[in-house]
Amino acid sequence: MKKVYLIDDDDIYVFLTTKTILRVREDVDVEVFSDGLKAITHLKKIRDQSALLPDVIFLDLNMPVMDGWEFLKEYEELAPSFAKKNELYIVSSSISPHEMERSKGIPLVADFIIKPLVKEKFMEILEKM
Amino acid sequence: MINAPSLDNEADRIDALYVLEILDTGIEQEFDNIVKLASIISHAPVSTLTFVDRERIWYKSTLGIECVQTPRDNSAAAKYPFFIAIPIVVNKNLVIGHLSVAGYEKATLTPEQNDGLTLLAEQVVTLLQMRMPVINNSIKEFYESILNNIPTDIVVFDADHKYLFANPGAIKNEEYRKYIIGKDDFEYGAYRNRDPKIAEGRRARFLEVKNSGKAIGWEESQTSPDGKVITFLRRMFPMHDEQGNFIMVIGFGVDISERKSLEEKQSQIMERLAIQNTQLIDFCNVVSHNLRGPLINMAMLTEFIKESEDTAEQKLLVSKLEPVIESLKSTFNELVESIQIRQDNNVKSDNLNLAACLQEALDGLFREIKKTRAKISVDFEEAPAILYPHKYLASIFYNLISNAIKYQSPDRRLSVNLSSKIKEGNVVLTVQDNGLGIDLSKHKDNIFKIGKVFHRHPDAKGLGLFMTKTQVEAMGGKIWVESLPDQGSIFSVEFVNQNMNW
Repeated sequence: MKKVYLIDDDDIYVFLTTKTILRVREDVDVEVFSDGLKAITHLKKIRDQSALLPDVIFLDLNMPVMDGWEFLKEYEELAPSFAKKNELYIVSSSISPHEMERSKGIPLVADFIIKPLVKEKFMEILEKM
Repeated sequence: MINAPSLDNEADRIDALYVLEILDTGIEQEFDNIVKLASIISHAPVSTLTFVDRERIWYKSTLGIECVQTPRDNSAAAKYPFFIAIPIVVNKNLVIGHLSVAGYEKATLTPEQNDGLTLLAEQVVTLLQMRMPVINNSIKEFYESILNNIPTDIVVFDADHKYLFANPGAIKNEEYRKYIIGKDDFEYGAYRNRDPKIAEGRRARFLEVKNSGKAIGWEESQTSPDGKVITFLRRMFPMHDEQGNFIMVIGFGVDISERKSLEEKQSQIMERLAIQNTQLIDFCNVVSHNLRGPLINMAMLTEFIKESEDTAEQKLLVSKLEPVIESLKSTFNELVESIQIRQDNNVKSDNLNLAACLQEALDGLFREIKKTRAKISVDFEEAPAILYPHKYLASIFYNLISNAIKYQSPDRRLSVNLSSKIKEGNVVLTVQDNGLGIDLSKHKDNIFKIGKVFHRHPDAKGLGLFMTKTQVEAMGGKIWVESLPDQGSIFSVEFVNQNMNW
């Protein structure tokens, strides 16, 4: 059973992406957080419980309360203490070169994916794990 | 005994001689008188005034002998037991001729006689220079007319900061200009009834130049009687004599008001361009975030609908399309409207009563206000009206108040205070609430951008403030916010050019 976190405030996008993921593999557990603060609060709580920690995080950038960049700042400090390693992908509707460039400066970001997350891309990510 | 002129500077010597245009001129009473005086002073029967040309010695004036010219290796001196030649010197060290006296008997001159001859030789030089019309009048006039007509202030101070010269550029009034010569700024200031601080400032600059021995420059602005600001670029530099002694200071002033105002205009244009560039980047981000997002959702939904074979699922998917289209439509409308505002440079301004305009917005928000039991207090006494497009002001009120309602704190009853103040010809409207507030340390740069929301709120779309900012900036105004999380926010809008008589 793989665990996937979707951190995104767009309900419909989350609904559709969850559907896409489950079509590729049924044994995936998708957890949704509608902003960065909810996700980071949860991660802090479960950082030493490898069964609860995610294998993959898909992070949106433009969110209320705590956006993707702010999340990443806290995530970078928190990640070394995780009981299980995971991969993090930025998934954004932004096509701004500036934001892509900025994401390259963060080693914990595996890739910058422009929405939507398609089946093929998700399969590729699963194979890597 | 003739001091043969040195050959080291022969070329300079000849130049200096020729400039005087004395060679081969006719008899002149003044020079004959000098020769006569030389003879009288030294009790000598023979006296001559000679000039040493390239190849010859030319006699300007003679007494006791007849001679026009001789070769340069003249041996006339040898003929006389008594012979003395005083050199005629110009430009400090160039010997161009001699004033000579000679006699048939040996004799010595007393120191007084010697001095007398030396003075006469000097007088020859003075006479020579006075003969030159250019130096005498034209050159003086020439330089004076340059100095007096040049579009620059020029003043010259002596070593004690007293005026030696001021041109009409510096002091227009002839009477004042004459008065100032030989005076300092303190005396002139008292004469013109001016603040002594001006003279103190000028003295400080003068001393800076005098003590440092270096030129200084600065810009100085003053307001002319008709209210125009004139900016001068001023420079002062010290002059020293050949021994290096400080002798005077020359001061210049050039009117650079025109350049200044051009520079200002240019920087205004630059500022405007920078703002427009930021707006363009914002706009691209909006298109990217707010239009691409829903479009992607629509594309994905359509894909799923096509693939789905279950009617119930298809129905569910179609129902999800509606809100996406709705959000796309509202973002799109907002964008179109903001473009129209930006392009509409000739939007009409009216004299608007703030209270009346506010009432329109409150009427539109009647239901929400009633539901929240919001307390709204108003103080438009200082600035009751502004000159502004009605549509924009109504929308500004609507957005700021609906914003306050939307982000009120669940812990306390919402209160909103509106007030208007006059600030240097502008009017500043403030809308203060006691709501959730915004963490400005995090969101300072994003607060007025489209699609930026800072709260988990079902109505948060982040469009209102973007539109408000567009409407304010389109009229040259400014909008800013002060806020503390969980204490409330103060939005301020500055409406420019509101010089009205209240």
